[in-house]
Amino acid sequence: MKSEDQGDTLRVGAVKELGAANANAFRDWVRQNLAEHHKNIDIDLEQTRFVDSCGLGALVALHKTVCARNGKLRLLNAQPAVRQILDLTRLNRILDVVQT
Amino acid sequence: MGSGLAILNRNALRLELTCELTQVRPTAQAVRRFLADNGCEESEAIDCELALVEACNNAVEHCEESGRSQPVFVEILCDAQCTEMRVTDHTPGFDWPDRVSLPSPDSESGRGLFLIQSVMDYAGYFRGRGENILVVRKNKAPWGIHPISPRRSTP
Repeated sequence: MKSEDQGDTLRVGAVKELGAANANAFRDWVRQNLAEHHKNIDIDLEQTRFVDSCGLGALVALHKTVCARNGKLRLLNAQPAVRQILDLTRLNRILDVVQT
Repeated sequence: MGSGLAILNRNALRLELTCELTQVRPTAQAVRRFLADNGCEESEAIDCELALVEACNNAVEHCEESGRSQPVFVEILCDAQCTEMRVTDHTPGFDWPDRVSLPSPDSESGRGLFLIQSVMDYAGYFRGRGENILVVRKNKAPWGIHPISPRRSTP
């Protein structure tokens, strides 16, 4: 995983999987990298091949973190299988799912 | 500690994994390869992989201390009509709801059973003494008919 400071946005990428074994560690790692000036989080899911319900939970947790800062969580370049899970669980309605 | 794998025959696979979350993904990936070797469509294999991960996560996460020394068993049967997966857990078990609802959008958990029910054509949970078995089935698309996105829409 890697993170990049983009002004008021923290961009996170190179996430291989978001599952029960690493979802909490991922959530905590992103929060640790979140500086005071970061309002938004962009998570690039281009390399993410698998997300399960625990991974979704981590994304919702981060969504709530940035909402508390009046910011937004964006999910970039999600693979079809990941988009499918976001659609099925209707999280696409509260999270910004964006192709760049 | 690790996982055991046995290919019973060309169409059947049996695995056992130690009761640890880190064992779940390697198990699901082995099953995905097995399904591909059996000619399973990619979209069906993706659905089976997700359902299996959710089932195994539950089997591990809800296991009490007394059950932790026992492995989670996974059996896969693949034929021309469907793929059937059985996951045997050693949790106290629970009553499987007829229809699982989604939690509120800001809930950080509670979507696993919903995903299993959404991506599989059948799901049944059978409680026993000391162990329970989740049986899920995914029907195969009829020969020559392979929809690109055979997904259930959500209202």
